[in-house]
Amino acid sequence: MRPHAWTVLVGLLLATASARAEFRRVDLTIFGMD
Amino acid sequence: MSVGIEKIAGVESAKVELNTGTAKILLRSGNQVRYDQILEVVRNNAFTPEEAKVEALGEVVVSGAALQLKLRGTNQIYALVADPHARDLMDEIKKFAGKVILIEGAIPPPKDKKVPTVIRVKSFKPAPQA
Repeated sequence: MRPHAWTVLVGLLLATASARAEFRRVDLTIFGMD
Repeated sequence: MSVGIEKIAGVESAKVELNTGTAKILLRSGNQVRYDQILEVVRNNAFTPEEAKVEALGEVVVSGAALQLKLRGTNQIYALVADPHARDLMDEIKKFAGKVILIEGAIPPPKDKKVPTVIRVKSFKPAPQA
């Protein structure tokens, strides 16, 4: 049975919402060598 | 090194400036990059990672008197501490428990090669709507 289009849309929206927790930008200081 | 960082899935761009000693990394929306992945590439290129200024989207979690930021995509959890110049921020952030906020702050240098789990918060705002 194929899912309705709106079911797929809601799934995509939920997946997007749950993934919205992340680093956006990292400015890392790298002075010094090992 | 910038090429190595850009190979991490989810990294949009990486620019290494040797004169200022910084690696400026922009990440794509929806990325699942972990901080330790970035540290690993830096170390593999014979540099020592120090403090990082970061912008992070995460869910505010209240754990007793402590506040945490949960990055759900990768299950990373960071303790939030106030920047000395912004101590009132913690009370404001607590009001967003269970919600996603955008934090600007700093992750301290790794000690003994352990991945830091603290973000010193300088400012925050509610997450922009998708």
